[in-house]
Amino acid sequence: MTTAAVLALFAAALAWPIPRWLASSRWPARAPRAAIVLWQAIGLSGGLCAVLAAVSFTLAPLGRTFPRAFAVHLRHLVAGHPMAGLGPLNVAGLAIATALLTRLLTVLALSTRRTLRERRRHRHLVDLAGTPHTEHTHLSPAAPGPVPVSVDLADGCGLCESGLRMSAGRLRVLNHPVAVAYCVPGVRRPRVVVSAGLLSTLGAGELDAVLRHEEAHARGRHDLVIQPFVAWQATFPFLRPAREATAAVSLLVEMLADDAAARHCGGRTLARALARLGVAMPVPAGAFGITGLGPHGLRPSTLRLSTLRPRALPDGTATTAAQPWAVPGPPRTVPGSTMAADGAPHISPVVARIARLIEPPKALRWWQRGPVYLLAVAVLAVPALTLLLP
Amino acid sequence: MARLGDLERSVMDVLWDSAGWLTARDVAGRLTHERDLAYTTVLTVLERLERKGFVRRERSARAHRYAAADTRDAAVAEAMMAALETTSDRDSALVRFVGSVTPAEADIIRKALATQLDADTDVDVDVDADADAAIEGATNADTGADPAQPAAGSATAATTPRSIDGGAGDGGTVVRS
Repeated sequence: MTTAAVLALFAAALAWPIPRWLASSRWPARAPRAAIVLWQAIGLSGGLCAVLAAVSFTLAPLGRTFPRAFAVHLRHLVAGHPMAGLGPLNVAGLAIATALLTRLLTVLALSTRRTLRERRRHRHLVDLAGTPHTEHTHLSPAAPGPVPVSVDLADGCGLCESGLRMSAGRLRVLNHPVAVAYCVPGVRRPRVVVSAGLLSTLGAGELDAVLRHEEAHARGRHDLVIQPFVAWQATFPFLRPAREATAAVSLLVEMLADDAAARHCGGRTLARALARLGVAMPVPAGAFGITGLGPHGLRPSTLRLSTLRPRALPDGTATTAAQPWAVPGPPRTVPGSTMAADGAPHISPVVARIARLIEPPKALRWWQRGPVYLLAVAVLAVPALTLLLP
Repeated sequence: MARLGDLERSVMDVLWDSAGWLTARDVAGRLTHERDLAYTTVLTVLERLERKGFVRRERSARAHRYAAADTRDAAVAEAMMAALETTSDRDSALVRFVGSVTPAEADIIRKALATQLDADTDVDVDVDADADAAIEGATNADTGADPAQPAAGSATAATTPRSIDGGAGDGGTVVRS
């Protein structure tokens, strides 16, 4: 019984206070990869603890420790009496746990299938209606066949100048005036899609930064990182930490891709590309009917304003009013930031990313990241250790 | 695989560029592919495209006739709609570079562009692609005015509040141009 109680306690901790703490921490922006690993460990271990708590609660009457109770239960199973020694309360507990687990796995399977289907359809669509960059149809309007992309390329082809050759095979150009760039993830055939509007909005350097960002998404399979958290959120939409975890992890994944692009093109170039696109983007203002939208069509972000405002520069001088988003003190709220239920001002991922690129926080050193990974391992080891220790 | 994709695209291009219904033989005749394609190959591709919903088929007595299910613009629009409905980086079917922003946030970003980012168009961040420079160690190198962004580039000495690269950290550093 104690095993079940301890496991339930861990499950509760991993389901509420620990995600809340991690979501409101500032250090993840300084070590996105380590933070993502910690988020994954928390999610996996939390689920395991909950399931194992139910199992050990069910088997509790059979023995004082879990291994012994499990052995006794196995013997009963072999003998053909699976319910022997179990009270009705125990069986009811197991039934509830099984139902929850089934729901989680079903939601995961369904959302994965839907995502894969949408992606396949979309990949076909951009393959047929988009223009591969290799063909250079956008430079020769007289060419027969595909309609030339309507961009004024008086300065030459930004895609060629961008110097990114590796994604030439997966790049597709959509002939549409709205500026957009995105990635269609896939195992073998990922696609990076840009619109003609993007080509005319951004300069060659900025375009390069955007392509490298998308390339990092495609190569790093960042979609696989986000998928389980999306399923978790879809299973328990009422659970606030589940929403926060999804928001935090998707922002961290963006930061990973931002860092990869910034290493090649410089953070300010990428920040400028982000800013230009953010301004050029049509503003939906709540037009998108997706659950979890904030009052302005903005999903509540977990990144707090304080995250954007480093307390001090490396040399000790405080950052002051140079940044439009550096608003001192909690009483004043940034225009555009939404107020969370607890009153803390929140800010959108785009603004957060721009701020981070303009003023990169000092990356955590290996001896600072080490403990984070150790913590992730410890969190993962909790369920197994609890079960095996007497 | 890539070859089949190319072929599908060529066939769609033929259908999109023609007004009416075409038989498989018509399509094969209009294909400007580098090699001559067998009639049966074109037929197979058309059937594949029909299964995927990109092509409609009209049954007739002699030979089936085909047409694009939608115009090329409609196909592009469908892709754009799907991309723009991805409200942020959260939806995992597609991963979009920039999510939607509110009007107020657009103002914040515009301010940042005016005060911080466009000021740098004179000072292009030039990092050697191979040098694995640390993000914060991005070096600024003068490369002259960038004609693409004339907004702030015309100033000879733009007074811009910069707090990180300027070093002083109190804003008001004069940017050399």
